[in-house]
Amino acid sequence: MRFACWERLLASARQSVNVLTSARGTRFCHRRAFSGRMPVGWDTTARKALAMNDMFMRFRFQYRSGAMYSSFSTSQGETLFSAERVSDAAVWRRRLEQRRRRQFYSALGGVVGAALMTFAVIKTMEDSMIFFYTPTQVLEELPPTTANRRMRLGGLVVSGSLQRHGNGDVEFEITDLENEVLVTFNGFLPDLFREGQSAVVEGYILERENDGRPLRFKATSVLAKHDEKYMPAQVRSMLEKNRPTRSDTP
Amino acid sequence: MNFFVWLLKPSNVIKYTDNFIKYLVILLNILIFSNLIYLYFLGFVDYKQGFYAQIMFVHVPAAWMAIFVYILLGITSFLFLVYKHPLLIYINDIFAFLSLLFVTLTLITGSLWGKPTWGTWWVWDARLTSVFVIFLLLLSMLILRFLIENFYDSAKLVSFLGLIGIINIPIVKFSVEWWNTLHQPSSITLFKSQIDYSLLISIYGMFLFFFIFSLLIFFIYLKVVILELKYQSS
Repeated sequence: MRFACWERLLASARQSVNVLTSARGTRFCHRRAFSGRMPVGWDTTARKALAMNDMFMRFRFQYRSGAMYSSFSTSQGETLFSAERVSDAAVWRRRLEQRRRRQFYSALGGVVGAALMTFAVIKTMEDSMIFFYTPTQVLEELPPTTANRRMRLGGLVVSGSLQRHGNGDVEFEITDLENEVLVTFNGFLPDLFREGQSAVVEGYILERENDGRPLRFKATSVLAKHDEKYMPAQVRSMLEKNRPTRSDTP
Repeated sequence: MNFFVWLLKPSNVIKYTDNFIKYLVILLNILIFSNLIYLYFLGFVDYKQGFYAQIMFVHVPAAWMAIFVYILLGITSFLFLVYKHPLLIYINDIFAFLSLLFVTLTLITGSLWGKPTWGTWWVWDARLTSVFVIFLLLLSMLILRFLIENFYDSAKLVSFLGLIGIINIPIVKFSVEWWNTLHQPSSITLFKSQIDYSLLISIYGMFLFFFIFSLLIFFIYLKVVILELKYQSS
């Protein structure tokens, strides 16, 4: 709205720059300075303003941000200054199509490039993205671990291997069905820690040499890992009841 | 293309969404109460995790919804970067907000679930970290939206971030299959779900509830924005 009086003033100034008495352009202007007689030297001011306006328009078309603020129109050439719009609409439309095509392909290329970069980063960081090692991996690689430089080990807790000594000392074996590692731990086990279920332990290797005995691992924390199966306890007990027992099967 | 331009015309948005906002509210109430009543009478106690597994009915649908809304955000960001439709700025904003809401809900409920079952609030495994990256992206988008004064520039930057962040979605989805994580693999797949049928109904029901809720917020926000712009420009 603020531009409306300027627009009128400029339009009238275009028509009659040399006619000194013309006050048509000031009719709807709310600014006090232009409401009465025209001030001295107004034509020079108007010429300067016209030149400024042209520069402004050129800048605005170049960076094409005017339409965003002014209206919801999708035709991007539309601006507050309607004088230039009609004459070279076709030119602007063609340029707009070109720009849109360029932006489409650059956006697509950006996404593809970012995907490739992410893939490369993940590929290089693959070793550090492993949350835990399996017992087989530990036995093969024997990572250098100390009390300050810990690693994680995960797998199934062997049924019947859990031994509770005094003072909260616990011992159990973790297996991936190929190799076993003997884990010692002092502290509270999580509620879901059971024999035959998965667990992830964080700690370090106590004894590397492995002469027939499983490798010993000192755990500083134990996490229980559960599988993706969920069912109500009643359903489970019914399933257990209906399952054929070992004596039934031949 | 013309259809989408027609669809995104503000007067059309007002005209065609204004009527069914109230029906969405009614549907939302029906859904949440039926879900709660069903869950109350189901009395789900998991055979392994016990009572704690009930948080699944919020955690899983919220995570799905966050991913779903983020994919939509990526698509609209791409469309905005190419076609510069002004309404897409506001659509991006509301998608980012909704996705952030659901990601936060996922992280909080997952943390609450992890403490009694795993024995820890938080671990830096692949699934949890990739979801946290989404959270950080959305948070930074929201902050940038407030921080950058130029409305159009900030919209472009935020759309760019949203578009780039799309790469994170397959990482979140397949992180439990590619790497060994503390988080269990996905229970619910298209053909072979590892979850009891009675629980699946409620999870889908809660997902529908979150979906209708997002739809409602989306339409209300668009309506408010359009009316506000109309008021400012008149």
